[in-house]
Amino acid sequence: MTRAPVLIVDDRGLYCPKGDFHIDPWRPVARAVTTHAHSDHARGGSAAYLATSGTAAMLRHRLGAVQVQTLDWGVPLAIGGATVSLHPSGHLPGAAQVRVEVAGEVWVVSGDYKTEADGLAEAWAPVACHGFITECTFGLPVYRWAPQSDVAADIMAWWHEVAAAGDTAVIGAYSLGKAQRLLHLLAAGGPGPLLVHPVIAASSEALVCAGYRVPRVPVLTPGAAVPQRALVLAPPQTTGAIVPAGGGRLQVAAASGWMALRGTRRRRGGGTGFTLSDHADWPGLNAAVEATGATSVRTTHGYAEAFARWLASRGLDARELGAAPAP
Amino acid sequence: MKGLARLIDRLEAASDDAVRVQVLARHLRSLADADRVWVLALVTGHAPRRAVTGAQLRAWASEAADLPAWLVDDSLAVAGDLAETLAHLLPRPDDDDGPAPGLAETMARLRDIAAVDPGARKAGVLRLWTVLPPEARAVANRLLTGSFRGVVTPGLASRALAEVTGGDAAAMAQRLAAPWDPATTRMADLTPEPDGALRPYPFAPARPLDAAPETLGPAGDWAAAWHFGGLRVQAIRRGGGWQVWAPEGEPVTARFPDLDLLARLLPEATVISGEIVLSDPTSGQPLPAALAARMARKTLSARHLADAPAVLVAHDLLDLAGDALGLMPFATRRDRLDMLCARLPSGAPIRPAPAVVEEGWPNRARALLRGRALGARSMWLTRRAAPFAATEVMDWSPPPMSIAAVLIHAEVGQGPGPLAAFTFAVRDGVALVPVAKASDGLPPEDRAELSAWVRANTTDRFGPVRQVPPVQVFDIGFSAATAAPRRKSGLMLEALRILSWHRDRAADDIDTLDTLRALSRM
Repeated sequence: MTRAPVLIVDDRGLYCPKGDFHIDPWRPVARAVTTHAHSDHARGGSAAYLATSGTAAMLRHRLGAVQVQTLDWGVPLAIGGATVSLHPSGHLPGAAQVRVEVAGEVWVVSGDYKTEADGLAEAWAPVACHGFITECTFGLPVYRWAPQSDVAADIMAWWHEVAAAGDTAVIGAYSLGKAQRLLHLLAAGGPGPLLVHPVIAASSEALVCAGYRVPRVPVLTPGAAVPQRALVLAPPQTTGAIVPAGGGRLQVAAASGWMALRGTRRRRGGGTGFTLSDHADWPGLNAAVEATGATSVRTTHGYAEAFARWLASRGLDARELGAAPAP
Repeated sequence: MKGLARLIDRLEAASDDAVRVQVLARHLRSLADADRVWVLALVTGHAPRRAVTGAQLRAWASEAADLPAWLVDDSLAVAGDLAETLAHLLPRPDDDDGPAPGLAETMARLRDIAAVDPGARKAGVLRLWTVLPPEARAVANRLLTGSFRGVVTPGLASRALAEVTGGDAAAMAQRLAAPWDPATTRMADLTPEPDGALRPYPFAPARPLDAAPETLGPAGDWAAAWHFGGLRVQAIRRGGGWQVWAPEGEPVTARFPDLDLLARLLPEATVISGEIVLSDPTSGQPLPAALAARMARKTLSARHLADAPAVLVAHDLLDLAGDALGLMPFATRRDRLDMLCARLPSGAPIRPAPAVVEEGWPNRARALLRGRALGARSMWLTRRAAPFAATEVMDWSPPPMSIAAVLIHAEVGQGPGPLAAFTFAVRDGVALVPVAKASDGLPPEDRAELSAWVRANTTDRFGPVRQVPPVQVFDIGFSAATAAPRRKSGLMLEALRILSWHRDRAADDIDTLDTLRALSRM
């Protein structure tokens, strides 16, 4: 007899029939288990959310007064006929993998994850399972990150170059996660002051309230000139509006996994790029799949087809999430 | 090399030239001289020749990374650049392996890879990959496959260099724009001191032409001039001074007082590139031994100077009366040179290198054989359109060996045109032994005439091959004769070329197999 699947994809997203809940649904549902608070995973309008306390703080910051039940790391919670627990994914503070167990069969939904510890987010750890649903934003072998300390050194060297020219450095970074990771990497001091855009400051504050140690730095006053030699962290869409002081210029860089390839860098407008990603690279994805011990893997987000084909060629029952099983 | 990769990224990302100058100057400041030379060379596009093909590199990387071809294809489709894709397929080097090799060392390793037999290059490439981080590998892969391009102009690079070392950016720009080999160039050569007005430009590289001249493309694209095997020099008249330089960076002015007259005859601020030839004052024949003696001798006797006077055989004109001509095509520079020499008094110790008047490769090839009678050692071929920075001299020497042989077979090619290939024989006792099958070298009119003769005199046919009476004698040039036991003659002649057709020579008067055997032992 074939067992009913632990997780299925319905019109609202990933769904657990036995527990009657969705994970990171893309439309409002009755009960949403939320891996992390980025907008493509945490959409508003659901009646109730379940998340870690860190993510809960972010959800309230982003979505306002929503009903969130918090669950501590690793604590099992029975929901209907399923047992759910949350485990660090390393993507950003509070970000979780979701473990779902039904009648002894365990599936893990990775959410977004990175395997390298960044010193700020709770470090990713593998969760043993039968089936693993993994993101693969960077699921091609050309994506291979340098250690974060190397990237930090590169950024610091660039900041010194910009400061030496009497210019102002700006790094475009997502306000939640990447910005705080950069703050953490750069707060030790550079050739000038480190400032953040108010939007980033607000996200940082929410994380601080949730108990994370995000360095506090001066906040940019919108419209006011930024001192020379400064480094400003700002959301990507706002970097152009920053006003440098005196005769200096703005030198703008981006920090993202997409900066790894020259072609992508150019397609995204050129400029200086630092390869700093909150997603797993190719070795990280492969290591994660292996560490879970899963024999079934479903891939989603990014190069899902290629990564599934690769895993299948290694003998795993692997296919794209939502794709029909191979005959 | 990772530093270079980062530098290139910064230069490409910079918003304007002022930023680029600062970025490059700052990077140069952080480097030792050996690496500075390489950075300047590479950012201005002075890259080595291709050592491996992209297809080879792709096969080696896929194999080393143990990835299926479709996954490499998918990655390439995303990255869009083969050198970069392959660079990222392999793991990062272990930090425990110590620091990655620096730029100068990496370039030396790339040179070592190019220096070995093409079949043996894989091992060197794989070793290099294991020690370089992916960003550096991408640059190395571009250098290996010849797809590396410069990112700034010589002018911009010289502005950065002048910020670092002080000095005259314009003079440095001229130097950076010229051809130069970073492996043998020192920082001092690129940064002329303020009083360095008399220092030479880099010398245009000269390489032996070791393939058929047809591989260079149409003969009309190439200027040809006689070369006498003299001492390559640059003669500089500037700031009232006069200096003659050999390629090693040594002034040789004092060795050639017989050229000092030129200091008064040439216009101020003129630079000529050429060769110094010593010759017999009566016969005009070059005296290579006298040149060697002059370079070795401590003092120059009046007798020596009289017996073997020096003349500057001019090949190129780099500056004329204060105008830098380097950006003009070679053909224009050469015209200016001829005009300059024509204006000088007839006794001046300078003459332009005699141009080869023959047009077309076959005619030039025949002229090449007559060059010895002029005292010339080889023909120098220079691309007519090349500015000085892209000027490269191809040295075309006559084939080292030749034999007289008789035509015995001719082969019909596809279609009705002239015959495709000819087989020649030498004498072995009373028999004729085929030794060479050649198709290159015969000028079109000779080929047409010979084809007509073959058609009229065919005695037998074997498929496309026509047999003819052994009466037409040709000179056949070749570079070497090696043992080939399976051939009737026991010898194989390499780099064959038909040199000339002796219509008046009798078939008795050809070389013997013994002569050829003797040549093969040389």
